[in-house]
Amino acid sequence: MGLRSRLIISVVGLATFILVAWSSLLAYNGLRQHRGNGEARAMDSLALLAVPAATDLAERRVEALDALLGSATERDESLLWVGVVDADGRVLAHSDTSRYGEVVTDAFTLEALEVGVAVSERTEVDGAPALLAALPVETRSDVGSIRWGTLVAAVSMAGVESTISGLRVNLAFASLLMLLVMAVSLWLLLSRQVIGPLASLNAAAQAIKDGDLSARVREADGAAIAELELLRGVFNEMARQVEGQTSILEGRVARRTAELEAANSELARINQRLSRAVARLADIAKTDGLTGLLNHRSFQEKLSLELQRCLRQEHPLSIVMIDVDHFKAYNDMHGHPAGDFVLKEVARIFRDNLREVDVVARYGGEEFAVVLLDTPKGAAGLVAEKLRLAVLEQDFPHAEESQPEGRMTISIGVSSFPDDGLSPAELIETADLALYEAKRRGRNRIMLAGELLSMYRTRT
Amino acid sequence: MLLLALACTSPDEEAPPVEEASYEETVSAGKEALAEAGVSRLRWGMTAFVDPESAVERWQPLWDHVGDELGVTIELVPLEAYEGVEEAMRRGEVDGATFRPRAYVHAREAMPLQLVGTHVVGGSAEYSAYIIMLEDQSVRDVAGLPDLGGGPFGFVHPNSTSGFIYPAAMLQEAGVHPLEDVEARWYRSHAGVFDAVSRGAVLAGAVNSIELALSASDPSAPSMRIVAKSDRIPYSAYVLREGLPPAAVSAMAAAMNGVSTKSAEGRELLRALPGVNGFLPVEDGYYDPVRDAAEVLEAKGIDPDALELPSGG
Repeated sequence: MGLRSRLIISVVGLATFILVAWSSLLAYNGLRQHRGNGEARAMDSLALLAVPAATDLAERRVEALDALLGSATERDESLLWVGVVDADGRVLAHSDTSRYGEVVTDAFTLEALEVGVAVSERTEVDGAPALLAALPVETRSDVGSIRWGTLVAAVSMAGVESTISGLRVNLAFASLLMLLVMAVSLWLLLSRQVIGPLASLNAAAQAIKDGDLSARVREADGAAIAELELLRGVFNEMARQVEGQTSILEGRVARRTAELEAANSELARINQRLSRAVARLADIAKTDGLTGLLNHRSFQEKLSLELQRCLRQEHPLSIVMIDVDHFKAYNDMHGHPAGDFVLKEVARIFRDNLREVDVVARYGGEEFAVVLLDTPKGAAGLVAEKLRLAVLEQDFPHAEESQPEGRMTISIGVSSFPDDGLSPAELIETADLALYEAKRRGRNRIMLAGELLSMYRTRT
Repeated sequence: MLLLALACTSPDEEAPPVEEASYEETVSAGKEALAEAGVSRLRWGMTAFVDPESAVERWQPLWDHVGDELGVTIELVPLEAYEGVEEAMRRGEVDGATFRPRAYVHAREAMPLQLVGTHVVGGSAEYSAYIIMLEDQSVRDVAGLPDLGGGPFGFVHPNSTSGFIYPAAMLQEAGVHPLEDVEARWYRSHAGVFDAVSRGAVLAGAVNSIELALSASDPSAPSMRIVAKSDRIPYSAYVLREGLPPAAVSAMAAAMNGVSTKSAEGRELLRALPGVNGFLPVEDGYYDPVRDAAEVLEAKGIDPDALELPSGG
């Protein structure tokens, strides 16, 4: 706690203590003194009354004493009654004339007669506070006295007590006011030095919790207690460090994210390329590299699939096995490039003259195979013939030099499901047999499996 | 009745210890002391302005009673007022006397005396001096003592405590020289001053409370205005000469203190002494206020003893 705060709190505390102590002392002494003053005034009045009473007693003027006491009670309303008794307690005079000659025996008067000095006792008369007082009516010197009698009186303290009650109310009000002032002062002090700074601290903490790392605790007009001021500094430093570290982390994350996004993009690109490569590899695996047609393996798979479908749907299917006539001789004579060209050109002719749904494959070497979906054997023969003619009509380089008929020709064997077989192997085998038969019968012809082994022999 | 033994008043003698002793013991001790000293008669001087013989007659019963208590005869000797008492004591013409306060203070400075006590009047052992003027006095506007300067002023006697010493001191303290700033006139008695003021012979005058009370009780007396009132003044001092046994002083004090209007016997003894209610033992310091008042005057060079009264004043 700073010196200033210590000073303020010490001053406030000391002031509170002094005020409380002072007010308590004031209340205690004030009430005590007021009552004491009231009693002292009453005793003083009686002492004044005792002076002429002494004269009257010394002069034995009892009637004058009667008048004195009577007028005293009339003049002073608080004087309830007053009388003078002799040394034996006999009433010499009294404001209540009925008490003449009475011998007083009450303890207070007897004690007053005994002690011979002014005495008083608080009592009640008719339920109201009063003071019983007695004092000697005497003539004194420094070494002796003549005691003429004793004055005994009852003085009402109702007025004094009423004033005391009023004083109590005032004191209570003053105390309440003082407490209120102290409470307000302390509240203002606490608000300024503690609550205000705490509210700022709370607001800053809340803002930081909500994500505003730039929030800071503002300075509380330099009035916060030292601990809170220290806490404010520590909090702001902590917030500054959190904000700095967060900023660094966010920068790193942003960089890492950008790098990751770049890597992901690159990976996607690679994946895309890989997919394309894989697709191409798949295509490569399925197709023949020279002609672009399905290879032997793919043909087998395709045939099985289509055959199963035809089996389920009971649709017809035909297989056309094709072999380029005298291709080996052509290849040997004109070289592989020329041979390859022939194969590619034949394949093109096949694609051009077949439906999209039909399956064309390079079955091996100069041999091709075609699956004609939903095509019975008769129709397959027509398709085969169309292909034979197309090849025949196509001009191939060097065909006149190396082909026996001066033209490039093909031999074709056709088998059909379900007539020639129910399985791929059976259908291929029967188509191969038909092809073989076509070759054997002089090439450039079509042989259908079954009864029509040599249906077509077209023009050369 | 218990009495405190009266201390010896001589400054040269060590005061005897004050001890409680019964009335009988005290009186008996005094009686024996006087007997041992061979004293069988005491001459007592008393002042009487008018009719000394009547005064002796009125006071004699009291002194007879005191003498009986002490086992001696007390013979009253009437003396001239003020100066006569001190002179009689000095000459040894009396063994004791009643001194007016100022006279006691004056004599006490001149010779050793043994103070017995004082008397009680009106229930009090003290009285006051008053400076009075006519209520309807309209010659001048007198707001207070300072306004009395320049006018005729009535005093009793230069050695009168309440008739000159106190009122002169009061005037002096108010800035009015009692002899130079006013025209002092001497009337030898308080009644004379009251009468002078009543007649308008003086603007104001000094009287004591007893005279004022007595005079004011006269229905024919004019209304008086009290311009100033003094502090309380002790009454006359009852004094024995040096050489008498201190026990006799205490015994006389006890015997006198035993006489008061409280008892039927006391009332009988005091019956011829109106106003006197009894007696109180006192010590010399009781008269210090008188000395203080005298000092106020002495500070201004006023010596009451040097003042000479005009004849017939």
